[in-house]
Amino acid sequence: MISINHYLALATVMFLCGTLGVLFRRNLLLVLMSVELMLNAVNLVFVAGSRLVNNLDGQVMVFFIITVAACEAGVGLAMVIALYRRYGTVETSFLRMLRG
Amino acid sequence: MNVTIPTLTSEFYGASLPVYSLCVGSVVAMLQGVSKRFGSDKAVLAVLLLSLFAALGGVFFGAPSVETSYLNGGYLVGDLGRVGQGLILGIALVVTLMFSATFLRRKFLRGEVASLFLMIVTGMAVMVASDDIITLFIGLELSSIGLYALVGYINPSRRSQEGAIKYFVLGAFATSLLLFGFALLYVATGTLRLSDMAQILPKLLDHNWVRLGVLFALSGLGFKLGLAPFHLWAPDTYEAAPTGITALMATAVKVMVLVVVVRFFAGSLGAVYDVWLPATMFLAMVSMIVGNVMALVQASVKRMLAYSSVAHSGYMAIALCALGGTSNDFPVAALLYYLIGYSIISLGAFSVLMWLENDQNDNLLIDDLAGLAKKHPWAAFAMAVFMFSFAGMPPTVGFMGKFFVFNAALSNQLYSLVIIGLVGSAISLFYYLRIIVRMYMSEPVRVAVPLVPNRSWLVCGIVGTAVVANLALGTLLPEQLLKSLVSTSQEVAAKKVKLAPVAKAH
Repeated sequence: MISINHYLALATVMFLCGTLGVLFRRNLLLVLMSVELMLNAVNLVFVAGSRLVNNLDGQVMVFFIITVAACEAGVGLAMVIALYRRYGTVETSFLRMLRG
Repeated sequence: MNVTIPTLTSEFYGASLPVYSLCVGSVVAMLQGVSKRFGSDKAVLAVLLLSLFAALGGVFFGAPSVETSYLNGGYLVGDLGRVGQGLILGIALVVTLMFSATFLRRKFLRGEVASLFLMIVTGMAVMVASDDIITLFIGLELSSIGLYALVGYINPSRRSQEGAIKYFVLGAFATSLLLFGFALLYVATGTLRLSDMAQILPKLLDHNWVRLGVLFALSGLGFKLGLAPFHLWAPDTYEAAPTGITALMATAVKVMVLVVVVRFFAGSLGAVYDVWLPATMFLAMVSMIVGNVMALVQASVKRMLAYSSVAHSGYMAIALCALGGTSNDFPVAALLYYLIGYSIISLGAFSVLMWLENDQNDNLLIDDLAGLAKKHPWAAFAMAVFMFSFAGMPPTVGFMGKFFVFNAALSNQLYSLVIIGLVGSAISLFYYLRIIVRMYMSEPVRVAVPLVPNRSWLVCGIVGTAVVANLALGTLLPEQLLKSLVSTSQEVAAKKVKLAPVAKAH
């Protein structure tokens, strides 16, 4: 029998994969994908939680997260394209002007 | 499942007038972006000012006198939300006027930029008036996505695009952390409404999901506030963004997040203070140390102010820690006082910088300010007042703010935080005074691009008002303002779930 803990474990693993991707990937497109993976882990928790506590708020939240993630990806990809035009690459190691 | 459809009364439309007028302004400005006839910079400025003033009017005259929540908690209007919205709209107004008076005028007063700007302000106004995680999230993202875009779009250059992408990646990361925390809280409590959470959480004190959820949510909010060790985006983004947008990020974003954090800590998460109190104390200490020490070695003024804003976030986090202490309502009032003071000082300092900048040099170094007192004595005087005020010297609002915050912390026995705060203020004197020394005591160095700002009565008025408000709040008026803020904090304190006295963490 699959319980809520299974869903949470899967979501945690997905979330950690995304976190590691954001922190260690050097390609901006892969970083964006990692962020999406983290958001999808969150979606999984909301859906599983909505089933567990028997109300629909979690499902509504998931729709909002999907929509907003799409907007975020739109803005992010636009920035990546602008950077590609300027630098000719999307590797983060080229971002060296600011010492951060 | 039975759903009650809420009835929307005229009272609701009055209360949500700020959000409506900003939305309408944003759409109109977007249309102006493609119109040749109505798309001049004057017309865009008119739309910006009209919708901001309409929203301010809505904040002061449209809201009901008692705290009311509409749309099943989706929109909450009360004193705290009203203070937050008023402050955010005021900041947005000042930033708009400063942009219109300085060298980025034509670049800022374009339809699409103005539309994004108004959307950011809408998001902030929604977020401070939310009692529901869905609206909170929408408000937060509406403001964040607009900011990601505006950092790199207003004045595109290598530097600003790089800062924008860094801000975007770390901001999106922070949003996912925050959402993961909320998701765990939702699984544990079964509700997305903050005020319902406050009722349910006391029954789930030892629940691991709750603890984990609170920590994730706190780290996400810490990112947005720029608290160390989550501050890495702040110096880069502050330096990269056009100065007006930097001012907006330093002040309005802090207002938005802190109002929500106050709702969390004093209301819904009041029961699990033993989770967030040590975490927030840690964030406050690290921020005060890292911010003040790193600011010592910066050459760029904006970068120095970024680290100083990390340190100031730390001071504000002291007041947040004091929220966990007792049931008294002073910490909220102290926090809001500090926030108002900090907004005035920051806006003033960034306005002076905006006035001095030009096309070739939009990232002033501290060396560029050398000898400013000889060339522009009044600007140097205003800058000196703001620097003293940042450092917390009497008789400025910075001193009163720190005084109230430390007072609130002392009455809750947070001695270690107060000691670190005082040491941090002592360190901060060094780098704030360095600017004053450079302005007054060194000869002008020959810089590549001389600063030749034009005379503008608008800039004069804004900076002058900031100086006067700064000194007035520091000397004559602190009691009146604090008294009016205490009524706000009583509203928050009334919602706090009564608990046994806290075992103090030293």
